[in-house]
Amino acid sequence: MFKSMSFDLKEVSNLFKQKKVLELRGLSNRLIREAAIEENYAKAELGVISYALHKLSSKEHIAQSEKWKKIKQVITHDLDGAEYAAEQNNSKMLIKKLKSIVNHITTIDSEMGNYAQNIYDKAKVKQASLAYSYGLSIAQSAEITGADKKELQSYVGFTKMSDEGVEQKSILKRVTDLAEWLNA
Amino acid sequence: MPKAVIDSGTMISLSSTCLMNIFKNFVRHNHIDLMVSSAVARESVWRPITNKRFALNAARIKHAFNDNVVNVVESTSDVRKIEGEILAITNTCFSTKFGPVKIIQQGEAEALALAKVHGAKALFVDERTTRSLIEDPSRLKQVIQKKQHTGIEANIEKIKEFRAMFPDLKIFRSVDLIAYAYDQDLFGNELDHGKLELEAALYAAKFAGCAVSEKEIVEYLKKK
Repeated sequence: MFKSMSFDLKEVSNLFKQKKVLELRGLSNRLIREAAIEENYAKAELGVISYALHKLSSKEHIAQSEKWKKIKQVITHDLDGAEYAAEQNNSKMLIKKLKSIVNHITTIDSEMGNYAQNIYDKAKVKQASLAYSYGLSIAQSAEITGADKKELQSYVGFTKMSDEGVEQKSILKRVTDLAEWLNA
Repeated sequence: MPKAVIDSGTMISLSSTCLMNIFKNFVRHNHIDLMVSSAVARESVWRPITNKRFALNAARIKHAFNDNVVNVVESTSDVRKIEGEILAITNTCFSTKFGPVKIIQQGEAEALALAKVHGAKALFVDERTTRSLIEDPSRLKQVIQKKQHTGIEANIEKIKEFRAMFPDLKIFRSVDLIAYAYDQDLFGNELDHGKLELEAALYAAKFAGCAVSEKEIVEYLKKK
């Protein structure tokens, strides 16, 4: 049986407070796997948040800044609030708290990040590719994580995912079929 | 005139690799009546064209629409009805102890419904999941089972029901289109007709997200 949302929120909160960066990433992967199976959008969002927090926490120039210390407190507070909302089955409040965390992530990233594409958007694409690897279609993987489908497709193209398993039909077979179909 | 439906992913693979001219040559030379749903048009043109990061790609696809290479077809009540049926069937084909696994989305179902309603015998789709559902559902089951580390139950009746909806639908990817365009000497105004260009175009499509393995490309090129 999968863990409850409130359990997962507590986990994210604890790992984030304890600066257990790699564990945050591992937890994110589990959350995405479970979200893909359960079609659980809130869990997918928490998975992306967890991944983004891992990325921000591992950037020295961010993690050592005063601004981060303040934002970290606010995010921790929101995580606790989200955990309470999940315990109360208050999905409206849960989503509100998760959105608030996303806002804090994008704010600090836009102020202190070095890249044009923000960490949260990258996290969505990265974790959507994980959902895709679990057998979901590109569109469904993008939908559940909120990733952009075009970016996801391109990201997947640079992975080894398409090299796994054996294709039922080779390019040659498909080209032959294509010629037959066009000349029928 | 052969009728086909194209998914947004395939157009994105071709436009992002600057192979739209080859695509247009291929469609015109073979007199293909190529359709996209209005939802796909929205997703691949009208939404991204407002975003500076994606606008150029979207503009290339828009040009293919305006050039009548691809026809945008409005979704009718018939299409929506079949799309609903497809979603209902496909998203109950596989389930875990937690319930059915939703594997495809409205856009993919709409493309399939369009093919069904308009009698198209070919679907151009670059991503693996929709293709596997039509051609090899057992492979899809293996993928889900292996990756999700959980028992997957396949509803054989639903899979049969789905496949019976598309008994003779052929699936092609952007790499297959590129390879055949090369055979037909349609690289013309975009690239020289050479093996190096073919290889470059196939890999570009792969890196743009077309689900094709390196092994497949290498084996194909050996035979050229």
